[in-house]
Amino acid sequence: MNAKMKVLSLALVGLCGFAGSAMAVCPAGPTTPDGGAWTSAVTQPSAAASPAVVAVPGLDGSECKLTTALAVGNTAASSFVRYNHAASEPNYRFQFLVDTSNLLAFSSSSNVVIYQAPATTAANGFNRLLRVVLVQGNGSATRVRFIAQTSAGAHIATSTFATDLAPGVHRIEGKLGVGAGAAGQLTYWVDAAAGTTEPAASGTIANLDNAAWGGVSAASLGLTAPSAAFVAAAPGNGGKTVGFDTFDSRRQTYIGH
Amino acid sequence: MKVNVLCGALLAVAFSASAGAQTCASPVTTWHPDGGGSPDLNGSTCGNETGILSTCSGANGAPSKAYVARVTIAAQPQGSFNGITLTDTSGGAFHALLAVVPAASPCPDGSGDVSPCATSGDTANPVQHTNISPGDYFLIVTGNDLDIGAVPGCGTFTLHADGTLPVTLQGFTVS
Repeated sequence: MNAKMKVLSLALVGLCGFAGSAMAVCPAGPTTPDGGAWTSAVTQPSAAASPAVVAVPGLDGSECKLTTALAVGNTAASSFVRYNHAASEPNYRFQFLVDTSNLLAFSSSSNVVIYQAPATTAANGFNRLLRVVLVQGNGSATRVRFIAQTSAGAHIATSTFATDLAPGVHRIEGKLGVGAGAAGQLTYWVDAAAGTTEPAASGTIANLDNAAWGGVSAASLGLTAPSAAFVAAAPGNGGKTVGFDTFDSRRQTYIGH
Repeated sequence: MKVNVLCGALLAVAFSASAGAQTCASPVTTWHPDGGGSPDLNGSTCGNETGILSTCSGANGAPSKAYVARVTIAAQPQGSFNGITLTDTSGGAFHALLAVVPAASPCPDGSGDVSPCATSGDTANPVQHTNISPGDYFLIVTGNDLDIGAVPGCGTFTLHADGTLPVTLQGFTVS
């Protein structure tokens, strides 16, 4: 079985509900009341200060994308959308595009969460199974870090993709297994070559022993939990727009593109 | 064992340490800047324990050698500080960052739960916090992930308070 749980490309969603010009295929907003597909949007301290809005064009040739930004100087700022899955998912694959073109000022303590997989059950003080975080690369460049929950030690296991992300659009895919011992594992791909056959992984985190969290209950995409250095005005990335697009999740097979 | 006690030293009894074992419970030194921010705190992360800081919910993995100080933030309004500047004096030997972690949280030494940062900063971004809650905090200077496997991956630094940092080190223990 290969159940595709959700494709949340804003353009695809828009095409289902709109007709006419290219502009018209975009929903008014990312959430269902505005014609989008996401369950909710979180914009703290306000929608004006940390907007999460639909913009054109998309990142993959489609019509629309989600753009997010965080209020300058506010480490409590958030700008993300969330989709609540219908069931708890112990075998979870996800993929999304993120545009880092405007993130040009990373320093030693800069970091921001761009994707989260909330858990069905909170355990060991965490209500999530996975975070994908942008951190500093060489100089002011960016790298992507995967932070998975584990039953061992400090309950956090990390893996940082050891190549800087050049400013631009990047495709991030992951496969998260939730289970006892070695059944809990994260495999990830960063900017994998085109194709639908699963290639060699960019990285893995093995033996997570994460059964206590049950499974993935939702997907959160956007910016949240920034460090002070990230939301600084200068040098920093406060107020800088970050685009997201083409979120896809499924249970079994590699997503690819 | 030498016990140095400042300002009443109510916390000194909680500390035990051995030389070179840089842990949250054994801060390496005192820092008690006056109203003008003097003196600066000069230190080095080299020779200290690694892996102390897996804090900020893992966002700052910071597996490299760490320098730990414990400070007490006085009650408001004195408890607002608005600037600690971190300077890498090693010539770029490491990717220095400073995390401020509530001491009430489990020590982020890898043996317990990971503590959230009250705030953090680095050489480009001074630590700034205008409404930090009064209490005890760890100041942890370390390097980030880029220092994994790097040689030396550690270095010297200077912390400078902007003159409004009302921290008072209650006590510390070194051997």
